[in-house]
Amino acid sequence: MTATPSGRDGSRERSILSRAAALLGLLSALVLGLAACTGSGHTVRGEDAYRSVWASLFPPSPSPDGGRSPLQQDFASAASSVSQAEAMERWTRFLSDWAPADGQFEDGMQARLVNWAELERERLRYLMRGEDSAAESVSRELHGIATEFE
Amino acid sequence: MSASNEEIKKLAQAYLRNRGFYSGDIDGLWGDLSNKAFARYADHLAQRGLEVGGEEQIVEDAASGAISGVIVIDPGHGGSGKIGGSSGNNATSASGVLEKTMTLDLARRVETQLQDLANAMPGSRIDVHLTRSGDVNLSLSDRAQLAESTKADIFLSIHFNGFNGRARGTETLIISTANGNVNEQEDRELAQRVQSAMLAAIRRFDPDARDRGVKNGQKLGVLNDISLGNTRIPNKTRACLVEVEFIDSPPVDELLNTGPNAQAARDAIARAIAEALVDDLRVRR
Ligand SMILES: [Zn+2]
Repeated sequence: MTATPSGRDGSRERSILSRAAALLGLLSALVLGLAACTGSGHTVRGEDAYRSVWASLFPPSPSPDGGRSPLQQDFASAASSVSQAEAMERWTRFLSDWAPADGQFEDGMQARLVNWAELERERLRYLMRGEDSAAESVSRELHGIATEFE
Repeated sequence: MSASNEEIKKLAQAYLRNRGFYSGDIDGLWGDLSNKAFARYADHLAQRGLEVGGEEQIVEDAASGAISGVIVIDPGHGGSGKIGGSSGNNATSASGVLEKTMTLDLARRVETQLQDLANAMPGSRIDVHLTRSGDVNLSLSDRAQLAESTKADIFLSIHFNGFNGRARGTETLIISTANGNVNEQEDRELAQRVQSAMLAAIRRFDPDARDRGVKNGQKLGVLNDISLGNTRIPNKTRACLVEVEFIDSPPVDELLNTGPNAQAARDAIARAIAEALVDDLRVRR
């Protein structure tokens, strides 16, 4: 179709084209947003999207407790956060609830999950400050650890 | 082998197995496997310019001198709620068995095996104390302090792991010198004995057993040398914490809880741990 930008018909066509362009822009944004949330089923703003190394390794359980202890449930919950802000809140709460105040762990399971949470929160801090290379360095460390548990 | 005492033969087999020469059952039946193990042990000594007098010699070596010692076994967790850093429970098996139940069960089995081993060694005496004998929780420091009050030679804390239902592995934890351990090397030797013994026992039932080794990267309240009394007394307690396996893994749950050989596997692990502890007492005698 060729637009003829003159007279009443021209105005109407400009209006239709303008709406079509806006619709196209909206669709593009929606597609980009969905891609950024990597199949989590939640729509989030792309720049805030969060994906932890633990999300696939330690997914939320389909059942309410999934045979997991509160320690494991809280870890899985933080790992499955969909935005950086939500992740920061959940990892901080996890560490507040589970990191021993005197630094003395009760067993290997607690020590492992708390240490990983500390590293993940460090990575997240770098990400939120835009310090991507520092975040990437911590990310490599986390991936190295994760491969031992695949 | 002419020695007729079955317990002595068992001791000899345990002696060879703890040294890595024998991988069969500790059953007192001195067959081809035991003979080959003995031959490998003799070769090993010969390569170092040492002699072994004969099959009787190893029995004498194994049985020489009575063993005495005090061992505290700490079944991790218990009860409900958190007390002094100790949670009521952490891991749960795939079929729903709680870690705290499994730690107490294994601790009791290790206690029984230790008494069996002591009874098989004339003149030997091993005093075994459990930090808990029922479903109750104790603080991490109270658990460790039982080692000081009983003047324990060895403190062993028993735990089971959990993660994502797929991870496997056996690991033994100690504290590093940098984190305040005043006898890390002794702890490491104990831990390595226990780790090797547990792994060998699990592998007899499940070839997928995975060795995660002895680790010293964490501060662990129950192994804290101040609570154990090791910073005050000359005869220090050797201490380690075992994470036997990841019980949320279905194959491990079958191995230890639901499978047809679960009782046998738990007894074998308990026996292996007990032999490693006795070996540690013997070496430090
Ligand atoms: Zn535990």
